[in-house]
Parts: sequence; C-alpha cells; structure tokens
Amino acid sequence: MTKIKDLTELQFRQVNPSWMEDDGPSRLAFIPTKKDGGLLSLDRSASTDAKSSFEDFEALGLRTAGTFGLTPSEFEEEPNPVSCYESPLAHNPHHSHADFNGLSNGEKKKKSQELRRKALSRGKIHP
Amino acid sequence: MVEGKDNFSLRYIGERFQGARLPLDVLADLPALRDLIAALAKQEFRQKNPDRKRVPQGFDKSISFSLTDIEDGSAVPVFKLESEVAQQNLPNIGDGMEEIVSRAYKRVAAIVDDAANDIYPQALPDDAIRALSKLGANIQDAEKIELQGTAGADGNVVFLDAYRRKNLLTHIRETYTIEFEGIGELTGVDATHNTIQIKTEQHGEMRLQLDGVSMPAEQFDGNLFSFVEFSASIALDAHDDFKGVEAVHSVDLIRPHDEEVLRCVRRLQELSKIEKGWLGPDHGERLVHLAGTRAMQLVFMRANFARWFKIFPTEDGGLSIEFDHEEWSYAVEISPDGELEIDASSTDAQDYGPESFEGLTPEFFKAFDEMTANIDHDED
Repeated sequence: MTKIKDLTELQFRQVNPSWMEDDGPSRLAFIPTKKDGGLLSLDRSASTDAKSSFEDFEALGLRTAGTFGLTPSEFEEEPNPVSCYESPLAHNPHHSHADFNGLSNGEKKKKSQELRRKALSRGKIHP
Repeated sequence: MVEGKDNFSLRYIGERFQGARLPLDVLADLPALRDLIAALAKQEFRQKNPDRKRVPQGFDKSISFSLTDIEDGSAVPVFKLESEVAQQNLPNIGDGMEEIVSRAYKRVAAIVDDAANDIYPQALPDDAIRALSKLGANIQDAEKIELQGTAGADGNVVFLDAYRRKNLLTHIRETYTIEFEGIGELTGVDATHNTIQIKTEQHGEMRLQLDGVSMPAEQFDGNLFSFVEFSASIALDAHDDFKGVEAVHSVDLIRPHDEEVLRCVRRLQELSKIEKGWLGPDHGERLVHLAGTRAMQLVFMRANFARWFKIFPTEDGGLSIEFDHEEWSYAVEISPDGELEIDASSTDAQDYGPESFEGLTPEFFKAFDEMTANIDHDED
C-alpha cells in the first residue's frame, strides 16, 4: 500500500442520506463500519472530481447525499493520527482509504468527530 | 382504637399519609373493603343456611358504611355501619347486622394475617376475590394499611402491604391487579374495536380498550410512534409478568408543545421506516424498537437540548444522537439492546468519556448533565 504523499490532496467521502440532517453529516460517515476492516473508503481528487465521485458511487448502486472532502494532513492531525493510502480497485481506480486500525473504539469515535467538524467546515462539495 | 361493633377504621402508614392526608387514589379501598365484608358476610350466611340458595333480599344493600372521620397521625379513615340503612333493607335483622359485619371484618383480618404466614383460604366466592383484588391496589412500596382493632398471630395489628397483597392474590387467583400509570408508544390503532396498542418500557405491548374514556381510537390515527400517557388497572402474575389490562381509566396523546421536540419525534418516526440494506446490499439494519424508544425518552427528558439534536441510525439498528455547541461536539450512541454510550470532544483536543450505561438510569443523566455542564441554555 502506498501512502498518499501530497498531504493537501483532497480525499472525497460519500455520505449516506441517512447520515445527513440539515446538510450536516453524522460522525458515523467518518468512521469505518464493521464490514470495512478498519479502512474508511475515499476517492482521490488527484484522479477524479467531486461530481464524478458522487455519480460513480451511485452507479455502483449505493446511496449518497453528497460529497465531502478531507486532506491526508487533516487525517494525520494529533491526537489519533490516521494515514491515507492509495488503494485502486477494479471497479474504482480512484479509490483510496484512511486506515483506522490501531485506534481503540473510543479513539476512532473521537477521530470521526474531529473529521466531521473539518468536513463540515469545508462544506458539502457536491451537489 | 375505635370502640363499638359498628365502627371500623384503617390506618394508612407511609409518607404520603402524614398529617391525616388521604390521597384520593386510596379512597377506593373503602368501597373495596365494604364489598369484601359484604361478600364474606353473604358467604357466612349461605354456609349457616344451606337450605337457602340466596341471601335475603336487601342483605347486600344493608351493609352500608359512612366515612365519619379521618384521624390524625398517619391517615386513619373511620367508617361506621349505617344501622338505619340495615333496618330499612332488612327489617327483621335488628342488631344482627352489626354482629354479621363485625365477624366479616375479623375474617378479612384473618385472611390477610394467614397469608402472611403462608396460609391461604381454600375457597373464596368470586365477589370476595374481586373485592380483595381492589383492596390496596394503590398501595406503594414502603406503605401499609393496618386493620385497626384486629390482632394477628404475632399479637400485632394485622396489616396489608404490597408484598402481602401480591402474595395473597396470586395464591387465590392466577393474577393480582395493580393501578398503573405510564407512558407508552402508540404501535397500533383499531378504530373498529375502539382499541389502541401501545408499547411500554415496563410491561411491553398492551391493548387498551377505549370504551368509557374520552378519546376514541380514531383520534389516535396518524400518530403512530407518538407517546401516549395512560392509567389503567392491569393484572400481573406471581412473577410480576404482565397478563392483561383489566380497566382503562384515562388515555391521552402526548403532543409536544416544543417545535424542536416535535422535529426530533418526526425524525425518529422517519428513521423507524428505513428498511434493511440502507447502507448497501445487506448492510444497514432496521432501527430496533428499543433504541427508538430510548431515544424518544431522551428527547423528552432533555427537551432543552432538542434544538441541537441531530439523530442518525447506526449500521446495527441503534441510533446516534449528536449535537454541537461552540467548540464541543457531543454524542449519545444507543445500541440495539438499549445500552447508551456518551462522549464528547472539543476542537482543542479536550474530551469526555466514552462512558457506558445500561439504560436511561440516574447515573446516565448525571453523566450527561456533567458532560454538558458548560452549555448555557439561556445564551441562545
């Protein structure tokens, strides 16, 4: 796995409609689910844009209410730093992930809260 | 102590009876006791007169009491047999009714005292059982009713408390009745039979027959998952498991006056409808009822936070209630089994928790209030 070198490169995160209220995401959107193996799925802005990321996500049959963005630098902030990696997939060559493994459940929750605040502060990028 | 065979008194012991106060809900004990005395008196008459199929006409009516006083100390209602009423209804009875009633009263005391010693009546008539079921129905824990002028096997005045009552009733019938007031979530409306179905935290699902109450079932239509406040007589078995509703006294829809509370209620109703797979194929469980109920209760019990609450489903059927205030972000996660976890973090890396609780316990609220202590509700 190659770590993403450009720490300012925006990583796109699709947020499920049930995790949005009044255009604000839940922190649940920024923590891996149980089936994710501790990895939070993202798309790289280096190879795609917010609109395409949104449309590609929907094309996979998944539901999204919008694209939010965070940088690897924001993921790596203390406390509870998390690193971002390139992880292209057959059906998604733009795929990357943030690795939460190594954090306790409590630490993951605090990290997701912090990421949510940063994403909210940047605002929904698309639509 | 009350003198005379026509005077009887009960002594209510408990904090709410201090200063000769008799809450209205326990006044129902007096007609229940009258009915019990009358039932036992009738049983005695039939036993002594096996050739008679029925008691004399007017027998029941002639057993009539009037409340003559409420003595001080713990509330002591004193009631007197109306001898004139007895004479009117049973002219040949003379002073005999006093003797009959006195014996029946002593028999009530004997039934109660025997039950305290694990001795139970072999056969009580249905009307006696019905009356016994109503006697003390509103007695709470740490309260008791003394039957004045009686003495039990231990030489002390005979008393009935919640424990003895339940013990006695569940030995002479399968269930015992209590008066229950509570809040439940509306889960069904049947206008045809004028009933509603509600789900309560303490006793699960209940069907309430609304004949005789002011709000017919059709008025509850369109309000599924709203909260309903009600009072009813319910039957429990010896294990305190709910067995049925015996009578409904009142039912009301709780309509939140606060718009923000209503917004949260609507959000929870909306989330209760999402289907499994909302996160992806086979991913994302339906909202579990207990989590929804806990969330609803939290919204009502901390209504002053409702304006900030954002509510989201968790992948396993629970809920996450999140809110921000200034530099702090807070969360209450409710798992499908009803457990709650609270935590908070600030932009300058301060944090609180996480702390877990089995339910909406006093400990939970203490921690919640501590976690949110810096929020000044008057500022906004």
